[in-house]
Amino acid sequence: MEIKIALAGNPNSGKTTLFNNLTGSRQRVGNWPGVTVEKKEGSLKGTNDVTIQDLPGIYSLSPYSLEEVVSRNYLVNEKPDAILNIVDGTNIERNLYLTTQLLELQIPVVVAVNMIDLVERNGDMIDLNRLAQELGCPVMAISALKGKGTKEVAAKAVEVAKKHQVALIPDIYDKTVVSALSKIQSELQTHIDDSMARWYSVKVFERDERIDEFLKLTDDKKSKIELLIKKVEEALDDDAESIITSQRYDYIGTIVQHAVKKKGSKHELSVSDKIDKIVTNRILALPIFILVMYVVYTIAMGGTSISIGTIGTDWANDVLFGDIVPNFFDGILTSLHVNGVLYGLIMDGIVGGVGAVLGFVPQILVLFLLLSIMEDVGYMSRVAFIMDRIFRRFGLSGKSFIPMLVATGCGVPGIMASRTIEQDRDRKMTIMTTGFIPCGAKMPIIGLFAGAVFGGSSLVATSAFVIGIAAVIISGIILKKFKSFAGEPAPFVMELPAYHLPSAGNVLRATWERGWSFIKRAGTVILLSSIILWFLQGFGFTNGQFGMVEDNNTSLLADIGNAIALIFAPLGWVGDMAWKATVATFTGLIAKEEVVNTFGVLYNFSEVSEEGNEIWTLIAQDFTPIAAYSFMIFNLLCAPCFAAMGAIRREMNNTKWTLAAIGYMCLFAYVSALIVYQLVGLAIGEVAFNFWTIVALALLIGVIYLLFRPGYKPKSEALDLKGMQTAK
Amino acid sequence: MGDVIVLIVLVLIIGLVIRSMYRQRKNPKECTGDCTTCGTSSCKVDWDLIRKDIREQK
Repeated sequence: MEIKIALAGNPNSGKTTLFNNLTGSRQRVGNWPGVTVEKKEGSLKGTNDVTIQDLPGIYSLSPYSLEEVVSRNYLVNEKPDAILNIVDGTNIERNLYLTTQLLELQIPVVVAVNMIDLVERNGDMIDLNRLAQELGCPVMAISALKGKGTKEVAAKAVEVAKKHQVALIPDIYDKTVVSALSKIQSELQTHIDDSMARWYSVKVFERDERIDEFLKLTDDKKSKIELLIKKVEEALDDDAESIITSQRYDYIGTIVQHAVKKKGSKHELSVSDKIDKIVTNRILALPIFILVMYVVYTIAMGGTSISIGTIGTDWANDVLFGDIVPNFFDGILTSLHVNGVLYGLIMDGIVGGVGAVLGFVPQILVLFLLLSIMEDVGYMSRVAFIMDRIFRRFGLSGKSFIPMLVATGCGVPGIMASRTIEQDRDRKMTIMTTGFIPCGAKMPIIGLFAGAVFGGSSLVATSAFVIGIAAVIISGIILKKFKSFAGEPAPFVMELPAYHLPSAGNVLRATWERGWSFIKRAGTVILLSSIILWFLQGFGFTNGQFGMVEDNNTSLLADIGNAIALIFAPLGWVGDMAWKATVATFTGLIAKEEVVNTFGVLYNFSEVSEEGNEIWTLIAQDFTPIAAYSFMIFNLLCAPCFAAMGAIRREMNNTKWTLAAIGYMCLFAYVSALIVYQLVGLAIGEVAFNFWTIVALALLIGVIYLLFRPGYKPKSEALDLKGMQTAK
Repeated sequence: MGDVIVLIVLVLIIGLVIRSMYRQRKNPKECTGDCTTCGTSSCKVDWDLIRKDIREQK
């Protein structure tokens, strides 16, 4: 007989950690909402017939978010054989609210009080036997992170499922409410499953519209029930939903009083609270975040002695792909006496191109490692909270920032994470702006120019991130003034999980997953592109005849690049590098790492370029600092790679909006790069005054106008104003 | 002869790469329940229906 056990509990209570522990799975554990948004099945270790369902976190069975709907629908409609209710022992009062609702479902419940080690460390005490007595169901202590008590609690859940050991309905409500619920129950008798009678009667009492719709009661029954509810509301002087909520909390308060002993005073601050007083402080929060990101980018991509990412990349570029790998292939190819064309393809095309990208793996891994640590420790959820406060001033919500945090790894899951945003307009705006955040694939572009042109300065990488955030905020302000996006942002409610030391397993796994995806792309898409690029830049028409060219400035690729390069001339992409920069930008649509691969192939063409840093020297010769920065900005902000465009298409589900999103990003990137090159270049004396300076200035004025103009006001606000005028 | 060997190896590698990319496209990895790392189109959650559900409830 197959048994299904559902893991239900508040967000961040440890469900996924327990799920991984019980099933041997490797589901990702995140410290912000929206990580688990669909149920996931796994088999209980050591059994064939017990399935564990990990559900998204919910605070109650009256859901107000997309994740909560998924959980509720499963519990109510699919009815698992038992519910393993994970309760955060450090926050038991709030967690028990859901427990009281789960017990009313009359499905066997086992309560697992998680983080028991933290409870003990805090000096608090939970009388599990007393708690079990009060709730009427088994209660056991576990530490999902340490794997303590997890097997026992799973065994208990299986036992109660097999015996169908349902708890007695807890004595939550007072006589008035209980009497009303019984009467409602008798009215509903023929419409519902008897086992869930209490749950349905509570929902009907709360006037849950979805339940009312589902039950399809006659008008006569509806009137009788409505009369019952109104009598109770009059007697208790409150609305039905509030009555239920407050009586639940009163009940929980009594249980906690009997079964939980806190060491410190109720209002004493925990260690996490003390840290949060600084980290989420109104004034200090943002500077601290920028400082943290600066440190992260310095360690990953800077030019200092602590920049271990750069040390690794330097070794990879100079030694591994500068000496070892080229010498290895040179040895094989020379011994096989291959001809010059094939030799060129493999050495200059494949090894040069793929090597240029793989050389950045150390920086990528270090960056992902640091971001994973920040996530695991619990800091990233604080960042979402901090950004919500800032974003809200510009018409966005912190929930929009979470996909952007995800996009620091890869834009594709970042765009997909936007699906949890309920409001269409906010979701569309999030999809359109998530691409501005530098993803892992864009890091090599930053690393290349930071190293080649800016002397390894970590300010370059930090500024790229800040520019991304600024682009999001500016876009948010501008777009919110249009009718399609106008309106108040959705409320953002999020629990800040307690800080804890990062788990080595979680961090290393997350780092490896992201890093491996980068390496895999290098071995597939980048490899194929290297071959095509090498051919296009190695062959061309000379004196009307097609063949290999001595100088890639006369190649097919140069001809194609030069035809398009004119449009980028105002951005400072001029001279011999113009077609190279143009081609690199277009190949970046395949995958952003392609930009570096393209430069690797194009600059490796020269016979003198045998070591990685010689390519950097050639790039530094071709790009002035302001042109390099303009190129970097354009590639960071413009249309994302094809995979991300596909994700946009899927999430928008509309061709017009997809094209609008991509078009907007390209336009924003072009205008930004133009303004930076022309105006900043003029200010620092690198660019002379010219026609495009005037254009850049006009565009800057245009952007300022769009930022400050009065926007579209949604209808309800207009009506209110009218009402006020009439009253006067 | 060396040219032939190298060409064969190259063609084999390119073939394997294209095959792997084609397979990944046709059979995207299953839903892991974690939208934040999902990079596939194998989502079986009807988000539009869920949004409609919430709007109606409110």
